[in-house]
Amino acid sequence: MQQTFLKKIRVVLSLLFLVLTVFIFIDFAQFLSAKLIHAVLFLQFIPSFLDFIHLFTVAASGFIFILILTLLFGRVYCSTICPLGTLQDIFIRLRRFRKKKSFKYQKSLRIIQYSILAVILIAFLFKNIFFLNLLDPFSLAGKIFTNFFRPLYYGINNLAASILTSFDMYYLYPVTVYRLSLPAVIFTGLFSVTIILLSLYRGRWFCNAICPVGTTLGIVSKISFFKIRIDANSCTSCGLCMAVCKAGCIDYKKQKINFSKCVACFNCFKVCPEEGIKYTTLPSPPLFKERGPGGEVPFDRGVPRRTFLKTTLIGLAGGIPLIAASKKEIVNNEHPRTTSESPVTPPGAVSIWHYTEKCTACHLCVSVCPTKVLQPAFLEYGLTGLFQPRMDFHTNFCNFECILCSEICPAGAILPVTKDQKKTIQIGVSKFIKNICVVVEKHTVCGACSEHCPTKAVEMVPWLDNLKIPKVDEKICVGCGACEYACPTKPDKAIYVESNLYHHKAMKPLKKVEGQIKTSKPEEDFPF
Amino acid sequence: MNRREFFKRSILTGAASGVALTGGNFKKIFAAISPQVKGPYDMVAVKGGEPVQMFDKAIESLGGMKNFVKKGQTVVVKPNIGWDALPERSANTNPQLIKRIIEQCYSAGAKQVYVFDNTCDEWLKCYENSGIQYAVKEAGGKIVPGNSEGNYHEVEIKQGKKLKNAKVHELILSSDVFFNVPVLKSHSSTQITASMKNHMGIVWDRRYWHRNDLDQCIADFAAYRKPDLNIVDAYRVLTKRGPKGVSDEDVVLMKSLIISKDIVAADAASAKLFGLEPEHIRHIKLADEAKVGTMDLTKLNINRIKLS
Repeated sequence: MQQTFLKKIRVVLSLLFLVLTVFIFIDFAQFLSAKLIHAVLFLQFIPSFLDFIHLFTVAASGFIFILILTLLFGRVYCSTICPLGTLQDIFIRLRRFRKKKSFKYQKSLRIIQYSILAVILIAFLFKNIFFLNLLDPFSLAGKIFTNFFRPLYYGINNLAASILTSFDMYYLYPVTVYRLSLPAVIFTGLFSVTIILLSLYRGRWFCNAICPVGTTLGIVSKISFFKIRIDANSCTSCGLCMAVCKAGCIDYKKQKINFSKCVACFNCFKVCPEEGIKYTTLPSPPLFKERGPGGEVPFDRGVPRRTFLKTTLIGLAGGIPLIAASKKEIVNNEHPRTTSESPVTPPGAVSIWHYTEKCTACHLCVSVCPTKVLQPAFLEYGLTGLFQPRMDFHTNFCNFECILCSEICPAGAILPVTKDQKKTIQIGVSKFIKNICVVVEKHTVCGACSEHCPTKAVEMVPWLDNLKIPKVDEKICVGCGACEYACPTKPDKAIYVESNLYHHKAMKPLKKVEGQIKTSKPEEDFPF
Repeated sequence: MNRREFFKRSILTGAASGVALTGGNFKKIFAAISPQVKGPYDMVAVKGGEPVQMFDKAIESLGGMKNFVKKGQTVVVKPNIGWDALPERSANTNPQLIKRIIEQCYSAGAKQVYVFDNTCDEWLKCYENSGIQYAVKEAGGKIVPGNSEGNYHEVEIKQGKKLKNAKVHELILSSDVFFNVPVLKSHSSTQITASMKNHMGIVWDRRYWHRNDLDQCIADFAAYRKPDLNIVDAYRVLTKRGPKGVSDEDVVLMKSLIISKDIVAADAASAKLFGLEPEHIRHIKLADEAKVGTMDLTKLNINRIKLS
């Protein structure tokens, strides 16, 4: 049976996944519910894996599903579910405008692949996911969506809104991209250029040389039940299949497909004039092969022990110093004391350690956060926490009623919390710096901090000359940052949130406060 | 029942009960209007009714809405929608009152009625959870975002002592009629917030005010654009831990409404209702001294209406 329908299915599904995933990242109006977001992102390999090893729940078992899928059919994830893969495919399609359209067979780059994987694994054993974050295809795509697609979408919306408003119509409203993190934009920009050039010139090279998911699934797909194979009996060695293979995994001269590199795009099915390429369940090729007549090494082989040793050593050499460096940097005592010593993590993050060990910096929370208080960090978490989001109270503050980031985090870095739970999670504590407070410096009233405080942990208490200054009740402060955001002093704020490395439980504010206020009662006469 | 339904029902029942009360107590209401005092009034103060009912009575005694809104005019209604809080918390102006004001504007022939606020909490949540967005739509008004700096334009404040310039929302600058509709609340900085303090939601940069003598800036700005009416919602009043509020239990039922063209007088009367003396509230005193209006309520012709 001809299996060309597989390509159609792949194209439709991959576009569906891409469009939905992009929309999840740019959807400021919250058309999509948290449940739908979870359903779409359920299959994202790395986030799901990180979520699973913490929770061990079915809800986070997406990566197991992918492993099973790979065991059956190969790297379907890479062709269909991975947003970065589909993005590359879009650029690969642009190759048709190039003179030289056809792809060539590419040799395996096992040393690079396994070195990267080894570094990631070793770092991971030390509870550090820096390298994983840097290379997880979903999170890389997320950064592209957040830093480029989102501002573009907002811009189009704002343009449309301003046009409609000039006609006195208010169906659309302007959205502010409060702030983009420059380092994150630069990193994402450089990566985007790289991946575009790579896909234009080398097809899915990234997936078969760098991507840790590609490498992992490549290993699994070596023993896939169904594999794409060339039927030697019908093959005429015309090379058409190799020309369309963006993974560079077809060696038409040997009539062999290196299935561990195959991204299951099914392009070859369609072009083979002999219908000689299809999924088959033939038994795996023998483990040992004779050398070819010219003495060349058969290409379909396992990892040689030497390669394994080499890559492990490279991993050790590369990973450990970085990990050591990063652990020190998380708590940085050299900050000026008008900001927190360490970055503040969102409610549900449990602790700075839980959070930084799980977050793949996909920036989904940065995208969906209604107040945009979540912003990518630069070096605040140390080098290995590059681009993991932090609470940036100079941009905005955390809405007291909102739990959106905890609902959508695909990696379980921000665990789900209820609204009630959230209101007593203390992510940090407000600290008042008296000498730069407006009231103390200028002898005028202010109180912006207390005004914005949702629990009145920051309260105005009598000071001098009928003036009041803020006082923090640390027991009921939740560290939402409203006071820090509202504080008008420049350049340093007179009140800031000091991060709780482990989140604490705050007490609830009193239901009712005592005090003598004689307001006019409805049945009384007017007091004037 | 979801939230939207809740608002819908509460507004409907509110309106219905208001109508029913008026219908049932006509004699009582007329009896309550003191025959000695004759208009035109500088201020109307109403007590003991529901928001819609109190507003109808008050505006009627001022000669009806047609005295303020002419046919074909545009109106901007500026409630307090500063906080992401449900109506029970009274952190924002009563949605029933806003709805009624808009309806009356349209009945008087208004071309369009706009509603906006430059909120403190995230604006979409404020608009929705306050119930005001829904109320405005029900009444056929236009709820307009106040979150974009581009809609605020620099103006000069000539009389200003501390505040010389401010960026003001274009609807305030372009609309024919401006109704200032604050809710009376306790306030951590200025003791109470009512009409003058509500103006902080029509300018862009509030932090400047906080840095440069907040009370003086509030008084300065009050002289810039005097609303055509100040309608102070004191139906439910947050008496402690304002302006956002922490607990519904800090809210008392005051069942009052004050309407005046004089913004200082409106706030002075509000302060009295709250149990404070106007001269002890610095921004009211400063505005009085600058002759923006008067805080001496004995000088005014006030129509006091008691509905129960």
